[in-house]
Amino acid sequence: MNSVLALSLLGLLTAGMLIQSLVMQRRQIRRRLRQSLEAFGRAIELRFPCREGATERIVRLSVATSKRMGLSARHCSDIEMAALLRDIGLCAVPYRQINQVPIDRWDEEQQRRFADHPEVAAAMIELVPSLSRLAPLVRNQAACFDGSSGPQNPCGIDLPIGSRILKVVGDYVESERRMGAHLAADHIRSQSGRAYDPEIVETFLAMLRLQRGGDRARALVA
Amino acid sequence: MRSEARVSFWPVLAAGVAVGALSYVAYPMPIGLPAEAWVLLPLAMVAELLSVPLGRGGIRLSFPLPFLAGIAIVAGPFAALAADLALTAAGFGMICFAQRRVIAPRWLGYNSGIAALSCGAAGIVTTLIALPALQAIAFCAVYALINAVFVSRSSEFPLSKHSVVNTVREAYGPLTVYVALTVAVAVLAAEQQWWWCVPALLPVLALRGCMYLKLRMMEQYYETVSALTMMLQRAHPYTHGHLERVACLAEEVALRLGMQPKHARMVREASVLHDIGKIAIDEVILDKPAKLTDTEMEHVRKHAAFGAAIVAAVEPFHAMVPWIRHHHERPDGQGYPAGLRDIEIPVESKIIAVVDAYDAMAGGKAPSERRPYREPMAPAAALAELERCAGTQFDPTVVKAFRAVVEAAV
Repeated sequence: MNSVLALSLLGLLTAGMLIQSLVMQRRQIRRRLRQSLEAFGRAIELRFPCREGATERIVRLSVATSKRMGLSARHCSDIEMAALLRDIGLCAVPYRQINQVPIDRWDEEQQRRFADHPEVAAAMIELVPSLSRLAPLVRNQAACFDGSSGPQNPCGIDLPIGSRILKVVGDYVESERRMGAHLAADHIRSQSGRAYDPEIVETFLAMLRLQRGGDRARALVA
Repeated sequence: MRSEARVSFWPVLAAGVAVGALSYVAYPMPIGLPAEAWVLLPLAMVAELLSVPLGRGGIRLSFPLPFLAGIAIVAGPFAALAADLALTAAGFGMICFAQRRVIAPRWLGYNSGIAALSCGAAGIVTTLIALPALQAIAFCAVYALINAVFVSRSSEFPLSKHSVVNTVREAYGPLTVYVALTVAVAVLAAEQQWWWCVPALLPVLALRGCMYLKLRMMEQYYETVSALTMMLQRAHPYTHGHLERVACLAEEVALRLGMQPKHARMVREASVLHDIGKIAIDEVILDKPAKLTDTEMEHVRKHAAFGAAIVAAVEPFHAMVPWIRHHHERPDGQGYPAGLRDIEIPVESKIIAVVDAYDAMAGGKAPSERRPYREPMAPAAALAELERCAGTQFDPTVVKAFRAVVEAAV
């Protein structure tokens, strides 16, 4: 009699703990991680209001692109996280440089400081154990596919696929804000094979045409 | 739990040997061990080797108690003690293997001492009770108590600062499950249904997974705090020492005001993060030695609201949002951003305000931390200044508690 009771206790405990740990806690960890990354992004958007909303859009477009390219779920979530983290290095760029000086009037020192921001972000990410695997993605986010961005980054398919996607999407979102969706797509297409991985450009543009990037109001022009 | 030895190595070892000898004399091991014991030993071994690191202090959490209690019940206290020693040795081997080097033999001696002490004492207690279920509960209680006392003494684990009672209060869920598991295994072993003890490994594994995720979540929480601080320091090279000192003082003041240790820890994190909104403020204005113009002041004042907005994105920080938003409010209503009056300001914000102001006045003696526009004050002068402003700029009760904390530290 006692052993029957004991056995059923065991069964109940196993089921309870399994549900608790495997389903609920896992989901909660993921949600909290995402929230922390959003907090970092929010800090940067408050510092540089001209980038407001860019992070969210880049995240959405790069996840959609990587899904369409058939990457694994793990890759997709890594790319999502890297997209949320890509701008945190901007906290080392002076406030006045971005908020008060137009980009085309930056001197050499300012350009260099801005170009360093992926490196700064990667250095910070490496210090956080649970994110350190994203550091290479963030470090190479601005690297050109043909290696023209300099010897500090690898080129071609040696670049992590996440960084190649982030480069295309990031540049698209930035030029879209400046010159509209249609011209931005043209710009991306013209640099395909030089700054961007042609395969990703093709997938990305096809996805924009089909889904309109989930943002009808802006993409209708295309 | 296994941990690094820091204090009282020889007394622990001696006590362990004494308990071992006592249980060997008083409860000699039966000549042929019962079959249950031979089944339970490898199960305990598996449970031991699947340990989870608890923070960075070198403490590892493992879950062999159900099987040890079973051994104690079917084969006597000395058998359980011997089994626990074997587990400690196995744990030692595993850590050496994982780190690819032989760690200090002191570790083995210290943990064997604790194991002998706690397992022997718990085993002896079980012989005084008849019912297996009660035996199991008593075994767990005695083992965990002795273990927790020694492990907490040996490290900087938060448990050492407060009491075992607080640990029980915070982790009562997993603890209850663990005790229930022990009861089940003990009953099965006592009824000689030893083959049913094998599937008991499943809930142990599930419990382990649960604890692992819980600890990861805690880790993530601290990582978020430190990553945000890192960003702030890149944007505005703030002194690391300032945040560190403010955090310690704020926690002490919160404890002195009678808050729960858990709540006081949150106050600590909030005071690390209180200026996080300065990420979004022009660092040239922040470091300007001269007096700020009105527009510049208005810009700087936004940092309280910005900080609250950044922190609000993260669920575990939700309680801190009002504390951070209002850390520049003053009891006389002259503060910002909302101009709240005395009783409308959360007490946590008042703590942060006092501690921050004190450290801005008195802290930063190192040359690298010196602010360009003024010299650090003596602590007594800074305290006097705080007291002069109590009632208008600071809350008198908090200032009083703060003085007590500073005076206790000297």
